[in-house]
Amino acid sequence: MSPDVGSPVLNVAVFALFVLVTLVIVANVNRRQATANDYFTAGGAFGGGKNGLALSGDFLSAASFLGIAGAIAIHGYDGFVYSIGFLVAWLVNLLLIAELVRNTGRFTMGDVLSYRMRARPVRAAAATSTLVISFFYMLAQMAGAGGVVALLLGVHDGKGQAVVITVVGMIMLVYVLVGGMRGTTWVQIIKAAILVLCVALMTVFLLGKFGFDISELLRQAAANNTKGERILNPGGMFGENGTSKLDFVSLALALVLGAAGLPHVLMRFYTVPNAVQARRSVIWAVGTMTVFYLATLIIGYGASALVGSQRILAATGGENSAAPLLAYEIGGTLLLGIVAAVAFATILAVVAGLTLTASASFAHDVYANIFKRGHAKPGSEVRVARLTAVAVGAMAIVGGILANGQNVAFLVGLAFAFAASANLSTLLYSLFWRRFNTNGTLWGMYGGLVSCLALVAVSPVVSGSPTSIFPWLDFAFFPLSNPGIVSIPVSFILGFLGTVLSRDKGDERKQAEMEVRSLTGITPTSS
Amino acid sequence: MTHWSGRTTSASFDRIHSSTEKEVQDGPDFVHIQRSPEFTELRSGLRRFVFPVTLLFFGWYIGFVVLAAYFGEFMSHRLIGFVNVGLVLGVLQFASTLLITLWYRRFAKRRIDPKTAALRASARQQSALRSHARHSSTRRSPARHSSVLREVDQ
Repeated sequence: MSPDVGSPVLNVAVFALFVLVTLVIVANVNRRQATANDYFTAGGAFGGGKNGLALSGDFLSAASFLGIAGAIAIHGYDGFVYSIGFLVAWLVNLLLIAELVRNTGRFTMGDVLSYRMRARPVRAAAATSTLVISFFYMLAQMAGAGGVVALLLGVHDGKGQAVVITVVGMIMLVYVLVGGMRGTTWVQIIKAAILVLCVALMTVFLLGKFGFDISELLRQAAANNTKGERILNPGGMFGENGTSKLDFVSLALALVLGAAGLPHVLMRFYTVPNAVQARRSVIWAVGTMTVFYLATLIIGYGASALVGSQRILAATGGENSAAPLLAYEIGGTLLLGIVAAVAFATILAVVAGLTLTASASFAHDVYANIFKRGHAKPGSEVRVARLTAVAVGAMAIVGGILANGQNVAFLVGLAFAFAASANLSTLLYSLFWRRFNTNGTLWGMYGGLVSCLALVAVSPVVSGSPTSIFPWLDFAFFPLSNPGIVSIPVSFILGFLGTVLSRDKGDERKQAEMEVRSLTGITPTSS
Repeated sequence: MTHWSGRTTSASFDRIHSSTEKEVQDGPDFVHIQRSPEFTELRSGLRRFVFPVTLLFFGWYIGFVVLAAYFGEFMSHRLIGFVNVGLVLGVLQFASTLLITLWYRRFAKRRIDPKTAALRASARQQSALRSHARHSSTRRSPARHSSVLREVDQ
């Protein structure tokens, strides 16, 4: 084990400053949030630019920042494909999802899916998949928190890390409970701005150090990596054999199709006033993320060049420590402190967004529309959402402590597979296919979700390999660790079969209403 | 439910409506809008853009992934110094994503936004007319309904 780098006191101080500033903002921007509209979508009052930054804030998780930089630094080129998949995915949102979803719904994904279907079963399905996906995604973030804590605060024993995870979880809850969507959005905006600025400056500095000669940077990266020049070529992570190559394709498919099914991303299309602003949000998000993901490439190879793969792997936190170690190498304790605080803030903000989404789905889909059949008392929806947020936050803390040490990027890849399998097919069918009906929605969602869960359960992720959750058991017969390549087509096929095999022709009038509304934003006055 | 489609003239308001129909009657007639040439033109125009472009970027992305997974040698071919084909194609993925984003933005501004604005305006007019027709027969002020669609802003 190499000795700790940087100063934990400074790291904590920078992080505390971030928390303090954001808490003051959260408390101040949110004087009025009695209505559900305010609490869930900030009254739909954010402009496209700000919301675009907040979208990037929601999307650029700890996995993106620490995980990808680490993967590129250690395994080379294959890590870069994460960056590409995460970015290209936004075209699905831009072209097919964002504007139509903005026009059709109010608070949750369930609003869109249940629009012209039998509302209660469809909302139940939507809420189930929202909760499952958000929980997996959250687990990935909280699992990363432990490693970050170890690296940046010098807390190495499990108990100490558990305490820090608990503190992080509680700060997150304060954001959600006090700030609602408006406060959480501001946290995302601030975090995204600092994060992108930070990686952009690091990148420019790195490039300058190598005389703006990419080839020289790559040469040194290869020279200081135990894998040598192989890190410049594909195959470093997945090139071993036919199965691992297929796994790579499966992961890539889940990455590109998952972003459009992530409930916390979908919910962010409601925080703007109309479809044009939703489109602007995505355009802004694509802009910031292009900068960010290109920077991860330079930072990853830069970490290999300046820190070296052996030192990264020897540090506490392993792969995930590549970016912080590089920051220390080029900017000393201060830059490390800033990067550390940004990493923390990232986990904090993403988990806050997830908690808000999960609680909104429970309060809006399950409580207000299934239990109360759309006649919940004013204010009670928000109260239920706050209670749910506390429960979800507690689950995130416990889950984070239990999952501490699991591979972050891998868990995120799984969450994307769930999102692509359970939500994307049904969203697209319901927006573009006239004949699609309730039966098809249920088959598509549950089919995608269940096939995904089942395939993960019998994959090497859970048993049968040294890195499994239960390494001492072996009931794995599905060879891939990412199920996307099977479960995504399964959900599309089941959604189709469920529709054509059912005699339900759907509600023609509702279909017309949804189609016109999704494209034009014309709403029925009764709403 | 097809009887909803043709209901555009005020003459059809003479019918007695059930309570659920009354609720809808206040708003725009969606079936009518859906079948109007303006709307079908908007819909097919949008789909003619987004579907092929989606196929294009998706195919290009999957092609790239397959190259990276199964054609390592080709991707490892060096072009300038240590920069190889894989790196250049990867950066081209970024470039194409940005270009498609800007292309769609231009397309939407020119071909979509004016059409949706026109459709919204005519829907607003239609429901104002209908509520006027209905309310003048019941001797109530139409002013209450004139801002029926005000929540839909540009």
